[in-house]
Amino acid sequence: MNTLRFVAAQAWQEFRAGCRGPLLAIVFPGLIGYALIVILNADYMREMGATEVPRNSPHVIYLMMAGQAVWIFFVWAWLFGLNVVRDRNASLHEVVLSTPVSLPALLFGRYLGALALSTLLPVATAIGFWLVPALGALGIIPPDAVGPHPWFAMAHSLLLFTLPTAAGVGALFLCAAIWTRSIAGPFAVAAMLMLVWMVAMVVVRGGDASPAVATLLDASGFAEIEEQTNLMTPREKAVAVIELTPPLLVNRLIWTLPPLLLLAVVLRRVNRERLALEKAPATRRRRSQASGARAKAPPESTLPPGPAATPSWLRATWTEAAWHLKLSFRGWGTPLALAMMVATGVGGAFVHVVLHADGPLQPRSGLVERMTIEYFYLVVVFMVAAFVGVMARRDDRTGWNEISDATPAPVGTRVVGRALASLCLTVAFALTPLVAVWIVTGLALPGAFSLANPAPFFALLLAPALLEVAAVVLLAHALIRHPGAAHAVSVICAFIIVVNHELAVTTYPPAEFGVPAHATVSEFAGWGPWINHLLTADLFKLAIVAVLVAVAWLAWPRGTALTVPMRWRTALGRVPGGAGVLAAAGVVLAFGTHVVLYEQFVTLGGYQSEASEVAEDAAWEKRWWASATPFSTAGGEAVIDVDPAGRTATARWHLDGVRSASGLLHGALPDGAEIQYASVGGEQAAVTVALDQFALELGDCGRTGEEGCTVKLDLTVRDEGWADHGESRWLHESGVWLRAADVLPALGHDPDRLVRAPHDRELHGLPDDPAAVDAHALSPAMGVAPAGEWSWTVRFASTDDADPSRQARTATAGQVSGPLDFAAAWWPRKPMEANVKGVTVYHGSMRSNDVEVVLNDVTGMRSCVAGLLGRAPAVGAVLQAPRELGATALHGDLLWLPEHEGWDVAADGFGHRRRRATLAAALAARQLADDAGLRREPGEDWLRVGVSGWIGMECVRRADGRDAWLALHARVSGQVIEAFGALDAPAISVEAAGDVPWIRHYTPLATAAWVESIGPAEAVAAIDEVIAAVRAGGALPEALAAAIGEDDARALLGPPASSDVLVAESGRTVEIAGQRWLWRDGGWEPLTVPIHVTQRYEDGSDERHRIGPVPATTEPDAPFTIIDAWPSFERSPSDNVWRGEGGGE
Amino acid sequence: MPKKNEGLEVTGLNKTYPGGIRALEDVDLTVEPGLYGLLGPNGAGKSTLMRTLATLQAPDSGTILLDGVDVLADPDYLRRRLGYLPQQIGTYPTVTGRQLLDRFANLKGRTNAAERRREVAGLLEQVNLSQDADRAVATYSGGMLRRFGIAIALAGDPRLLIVDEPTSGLDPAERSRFHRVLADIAADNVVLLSTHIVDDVESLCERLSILDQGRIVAEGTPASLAAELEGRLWSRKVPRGEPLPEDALHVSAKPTGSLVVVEASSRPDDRWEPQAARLEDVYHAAIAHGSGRREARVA
Repeated sequence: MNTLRFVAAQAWQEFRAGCRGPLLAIVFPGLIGYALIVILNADYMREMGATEVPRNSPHVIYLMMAGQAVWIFFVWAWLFGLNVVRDRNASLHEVVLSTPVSLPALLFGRYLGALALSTLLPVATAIGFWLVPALGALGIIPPDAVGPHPWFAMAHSLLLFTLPTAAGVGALFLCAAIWTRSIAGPFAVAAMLMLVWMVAMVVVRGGDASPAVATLLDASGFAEIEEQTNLMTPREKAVAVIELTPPLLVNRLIWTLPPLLLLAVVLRRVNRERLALEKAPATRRRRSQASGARAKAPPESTLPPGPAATPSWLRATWTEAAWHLKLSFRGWGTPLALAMMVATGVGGAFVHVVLHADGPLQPRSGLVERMTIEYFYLVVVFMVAAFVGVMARRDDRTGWNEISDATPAPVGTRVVGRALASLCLTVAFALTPLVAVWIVTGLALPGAFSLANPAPFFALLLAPALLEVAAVVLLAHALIRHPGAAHAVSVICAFIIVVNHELAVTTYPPAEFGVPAHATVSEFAGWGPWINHLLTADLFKLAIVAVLVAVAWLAWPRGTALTVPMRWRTALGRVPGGAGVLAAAGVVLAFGTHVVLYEQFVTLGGYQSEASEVAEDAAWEKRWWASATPFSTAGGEAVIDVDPAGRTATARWHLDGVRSASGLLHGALPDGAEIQYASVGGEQAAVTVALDQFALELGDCGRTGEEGCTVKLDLTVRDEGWADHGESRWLHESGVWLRAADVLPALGHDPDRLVRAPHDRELHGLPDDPAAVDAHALSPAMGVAPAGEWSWTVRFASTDDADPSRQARTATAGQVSGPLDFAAAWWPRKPMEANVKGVTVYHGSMRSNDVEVVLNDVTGMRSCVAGLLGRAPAVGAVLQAPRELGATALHGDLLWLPEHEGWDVAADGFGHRRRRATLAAALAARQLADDAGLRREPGEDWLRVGVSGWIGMECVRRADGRDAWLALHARVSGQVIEAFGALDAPAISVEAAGDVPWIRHYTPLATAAWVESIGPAEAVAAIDEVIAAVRAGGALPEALAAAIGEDDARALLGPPASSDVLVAESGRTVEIAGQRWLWRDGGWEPLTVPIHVTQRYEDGSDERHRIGPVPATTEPDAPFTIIDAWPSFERSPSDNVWRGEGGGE
Repeated sequence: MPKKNEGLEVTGLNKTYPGGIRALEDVDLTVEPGLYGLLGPNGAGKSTLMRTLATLQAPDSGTILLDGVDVLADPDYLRRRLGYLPQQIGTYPTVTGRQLLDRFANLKGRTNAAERRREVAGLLEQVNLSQDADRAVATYSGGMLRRFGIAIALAGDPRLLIVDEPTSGLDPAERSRFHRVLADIAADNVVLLSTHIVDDVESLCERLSILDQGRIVAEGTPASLAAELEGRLWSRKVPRGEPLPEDALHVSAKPTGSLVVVEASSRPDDRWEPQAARLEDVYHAAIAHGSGRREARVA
């Protein structure tokens, strides 16, 4: 037999042996099932950016085929490891190695067989996608979700990603197997690859450090696929072909050729002795000598102590647990893994937190822990799966399981001992990031260093979730006797848990198995609002862990030659023992805690699945939208009494001059609110409440009365229950953070409750488009009631355990002339206060160093807004609001500045400039909305979000210069592109979009382009004209058209547009070129219209020129910036700059 | 003199594996304190019997009594009194001999830490591994691993010690040391030694059984079993090249040919010499008779 035939024969035998093993039987159906789960879950597909495209869209194929590499590495490690280990496992290695065959040819043939099998495995995913047409035909998924078979994408991803990756990492696995003569080597390499992948995806790519570096580091190619598909429009996704970009080409080469070269070297150097000899680990000489000395000493007694009469199996269980735990730390694996986690954590925290793209951020408690958990989670889950698996299989060596089984120790001692050790090891893994947090905080922000503060994040959020992972892994190993199959199932479980964490496939908190609980801890509120929630959720998770361990105990095999019926009978026989008691206790505890969780999340907290929310919105639209009717108020008074200890508030709202064309006053009730009493003109009036909307019968005074009606509404509000995804609570005894919308109904109809996605509208029997309603029937754009003369008072009851003299509050009464909006806060203990230039800042002690900068930003941005608009709202106080409790906004004269937007960034850098832009935009939004008396009418987003966003960016330009503006522009531009890649409803026009992510990023850029084209003064004049017209009752689109012309108004309020203009040196001149696109039918459609650009010199003159049509040339006389003279967003602002001769762009 | 019910009593033990392989067939054994040998060729069912006696697998039928207690009904009674050394034990990574022995002593009920330390030290001394107690088990030689295995089996001071092929792979010195250890233990306890090395049984065991194809084909003391063959064994050296007799009980290779032993009531011819019966002859005769009985049953 010649060498080639021998290699082919070996490859075929290896392939057949792999096919006969249990891995294929488990992994193949597992992958098909996983693909089907993905395909059937609309939310999951939406998270993958698969809206407006078929569910078997090519881009999904690419993402899935490469994305599964993370866990399939471990399966591959097993397959390639068997190349070496299979003979040894059967004690045939010496026989095989003594045959007169070429060892390199033997191993290479087996490598090829494993490679074929490895390439075959991911095809299972493709099979899942082949079933899509059948699912469509059966009506399981909508017909429009079925696209043509993505044959090319499947073949392309197989050839471009799966095969080269398998060839490269497979070579590494085989080398590791040869070096270690065991599966441990390939598994260690797989863990390393996953760690590198995690660093690439989470730290480098997630931290926006460098997409190219992320691509290079990622052995699977997933980072590049995600990078490319994120920038694709739905239309592009439907025909996606991943381009072989230079970074991707280099990635494919470095992950294929060097490993193959290494394999060639290893195969050339490997000899039979290396594979035949038994492994003889070096002994620790020093310890051995010491121990030897101890051993030489006469034993305490050489007489056996006699039979063990009354063993304490409880004590034996602890000893067994301690033994396993100690052993886990004895080898190099666990300490190395922990050390690597700390090192990665420190590096990751610096890149991801301190040097965050929206930073630099200050790694304070509350921020750094959450981000650390976020980027650590992926790797920790897989580590837990691997290490617990190793612990579970520790006795899986010839004879040892039999010896263990023959001991009198009850199975419970061995299972629970192992479980306790696994759980302790898991807790160690969960707490390791804590060390990274200490190091990073100590280095980057020593003043914020605390040993104790970060610990609860890892102990209460991360550890219980990982314990669930550990328990399910233990169960898998208890149920499945074949170690390879058990490891594969464990890794698949870990993968599903990670996917659920990343894509939130299940959102009901108790069902989020293995996913950390959600809590948003802020400086003022601390753990107070969360502790009951977390303890209960953690108890529930521990109960689930107890049940899983109990089932593992029931299923744990004891003895040999066991059949399934025998194991079943044994399990039943164990039910009356400790396992049954543990299971029963776990079930009872899980049931009991779940009753509490359900009560808090669903009954009181109002949790709904996304589908339920859409269904309720659909019901709301059917029930209420048609009855929307114009209304107005003259003003009134709101008196709010808040009882922090009882977490209740009562509101007495007196409204004057209420008019409504239909005689009905509508409003949307805040969460937890109930109307206790309503009167009109002093007489009790009927109120209809459904789906959180009410309608009050005004009678004739509302329709025809000259004075309008006098309305009184008495409400109670309970901020009860727990937030399902960690949203901060506004009413708690640890602090009250009240905004008008928390306690008072927003009058009118809220168009954001309309169902937007065509599929959802069709599903719920709604017409293609909602009926148009009068703008004056809608809720105010900011606040709870339309423009009027309002007064408000908030009174806080003292809590029993708080010293009244130590309590504090912001201003508790005020007058508003305009839409009703206000905010007030109360603390059981006084916060820090600073008063500068008449502005009071309420802040925590950890933020004392930031107060001056924040105040300077507020005053500076207010001046800037005033300079641009000619007016700016008054700011009386700045409030450090809890993390992620609302967005930065001015409520009355109180500037609401939540920790995540206003108090995390460092005093200098991009994040600081972004905060300035946010502050200026918030002040401008309040001014514009109040001036216009703006409702949630079509096009209001342009004025409230777009114009204020432009003002924010322009203020940064004026305060920090062009480069800061460009950086901000580039960041927002990137967010626009990402938002269009993740649409969950068609983007038809700015006017009709509502409050969706792309509007928040797109409209400021489009408005900026428009302002650049006509100049700020002209733009502000036009804006004022629009405001006056809207305030006078006109519709915003018509007012805008009247002010700036039909074409520009259509461009600003119509379909989103995109531009890419650039400057480039061309000999002695500078060439300007550009391209435009318009969003149509889910994609960017190139336009072939003449393009003009606005040229702005950076010489302080603020001079602008119009150049066009481009391509055109201009003199390189001075530095300038160009931007398309058309309302659109610039895709790459960095090439819009001419920095002067020789400087290029 | 053993007390009534003392020792191990096995009655009518049957075990058939899925697939129809009958591993044990009506096995009866009475094992009194002392060393009891279980001889049999490969595949005879010894390991199945050992595992069944060690409660690692359940028989289809039959009873097993230890000191009069039905251990199939109360397996923990036996496990508390059992030391078991399987046919093969592999290396155990990372851990030292002392640590691993400590762990198994704990699992065998020695839950008091001080007592356990004392027992571990004593056992290591007993199997002559004190000097190597803090070496990684993975670095032990085959003989050390077997001795270490017996130390684990002895942890907890077992009443019943089951050792499956304990001396295979050991050098003569290790084997001799191993025999002494077993003999010491057997002074007060029941030791069941399964092997196919006849010499081990001959030199150690007071009684033995021979197992073939799942059945006990002979039972007794070595002397009584040999006595049954007295005067019935004949041997002769068959030169190389000459055909071997078809009815040979067993054949041993010699430098110039083969030594053939046959069983016959009288000398076959002048070339044959009387052969004193040894346990090896008994073993082969028992296997041959067992096989003959089975063939006769089939016929």
